[in-house]
Amino acid sequence: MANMVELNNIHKSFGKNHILKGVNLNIEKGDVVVILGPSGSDKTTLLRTVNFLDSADDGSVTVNGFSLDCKKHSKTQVIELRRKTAMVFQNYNLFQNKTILENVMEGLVTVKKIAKADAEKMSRDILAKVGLSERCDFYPSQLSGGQQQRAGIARALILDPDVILFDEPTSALDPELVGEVLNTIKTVAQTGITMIVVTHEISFAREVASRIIFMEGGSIVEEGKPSEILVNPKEPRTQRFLKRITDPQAAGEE
Amino acid sequence: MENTFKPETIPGYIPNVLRAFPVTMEILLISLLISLALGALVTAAGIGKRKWPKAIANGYIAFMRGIPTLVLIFLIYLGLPQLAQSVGVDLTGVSKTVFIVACLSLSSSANMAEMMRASYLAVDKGQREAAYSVGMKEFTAFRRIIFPQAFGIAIPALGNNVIMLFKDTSLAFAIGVIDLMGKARAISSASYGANRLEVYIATGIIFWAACIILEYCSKFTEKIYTKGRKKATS
Ligand SMILES: Nc1ncnc2c1ncn2[C@@H]1O[C@H](COP(=O)(O)OP(=O)(O)O)[C@@H](O)[C@H]1O
Ligand SMILES: [Mg+2]
Repeated sequence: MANMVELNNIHKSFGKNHILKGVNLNIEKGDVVVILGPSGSDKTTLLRTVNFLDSADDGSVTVNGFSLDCKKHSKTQVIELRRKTAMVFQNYNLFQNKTILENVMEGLVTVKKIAKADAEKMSRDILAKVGLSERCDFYPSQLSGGQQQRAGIARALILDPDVILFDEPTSALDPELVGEVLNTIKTVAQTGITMIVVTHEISFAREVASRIIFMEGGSIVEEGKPSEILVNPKEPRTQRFLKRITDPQAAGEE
Repeated sequence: MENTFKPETIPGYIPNVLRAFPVTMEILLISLLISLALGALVTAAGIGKRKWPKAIANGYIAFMRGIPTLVLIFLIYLGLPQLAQSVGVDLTGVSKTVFIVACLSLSSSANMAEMMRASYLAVDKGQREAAYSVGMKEFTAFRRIIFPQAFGIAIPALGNNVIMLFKDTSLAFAIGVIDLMGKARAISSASYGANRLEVYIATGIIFWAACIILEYCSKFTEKIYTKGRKKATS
């Protein structure tokens, strides 16, 4: 089966700081790839190189057959690539000047050029699916974090992207709101859409991931099925990380 | 000199002075439009990546903010025609109002540019990233997401700038334009200054009332515009 996303030898530096050190990653259509790794292990940066919010210095990115050289590309090509992807942000990043409904409609109207009436209907449908029918006319600031993030997921989903990138979608949420968002993401995962999810939620990863990638220091340390990585990690760094995250107190006492 | 101050005559001068109101409004509105356009241009250059436009924009702002408007008016009204003449351009036919509009536009544009830059930078960068992530082009993201939010942030400062510009229109009298202040001076000199205190108090009241109204408009606009929204600042 053809790969939906291919990252080839991705290098990225911020100034003198060499962040990503030649990352290679192939993701098949329908894969749900979960990226784990300690804070500062460049997970966000890797995700952002996929849709060129951060442009890598070297390497190439391919999404559904459309390939871009990170060194040499035009603005138009970047936009074409972005239109094959969608992103869900850690801080939701809903458009503050628009209602929830308008947030979801925005991409349909301005990017896909769908007529307003149709776009509204589609948006209301998808907002109903994430349980926000009653909140369509609210502004983001009037919603809880969990509701905002579900709206963020709807905004990404409606574009029917080839891949959705999730950057720690539940990290900014109060603990009691994490569940509702994870459930929404699980539902999305079951539709067969290709996803890359950066998260610290191990049990979520075990449940939905078709593949888990463990990153540290700008490289992929280990990857495999959840049953391999979460149960029998080979690399000591992965073992340490999992121990720390599943039993923080024990790890602290070491 | 005996005390001839007659406060009861003050209200009577108000309609008289107000006859120059259209002139002041004309100066204000045209200067406002030009200063906004100029300010936008300077802002675009200032926040862009290119080195020279950036340097010019910053220099322009520093110069315009440092120079008193009255000095600028004299420089341009008296100096520019002289300079133009030396290169063979005759500016004697240009009306005084045009000079005033030019000077006020220039001096206000620096404040407008500062306001625009600050408001633009105050929009959370995540907003632009979200716009890009759904596939918007730069200009679309600016028009639909960034600008509307920056505008909401700018309203109080914009109100302030308009009020400052409005008060600065009173400098037009210095080169003989019959605006509110020019009118007041004309009325006062017609009676050889006997009633000047009353006339200037009447003029002050007009300016003060107009500023109060502008202030109220600014607050009202802000309230309507940002209704229900968080002010998106980073
Ligand atoms: N815009 C930036 N400028 C400079 N350094 C950055 C920038 N973005 C991220 N970094 C650095 O890159 C490293 C990885 O960050 P990030 O990708 O956010 O890690 P993670 O998401 O795994 O926590 C950090 O050391 C961070 O300081
Ligand atoms: Mg991160």
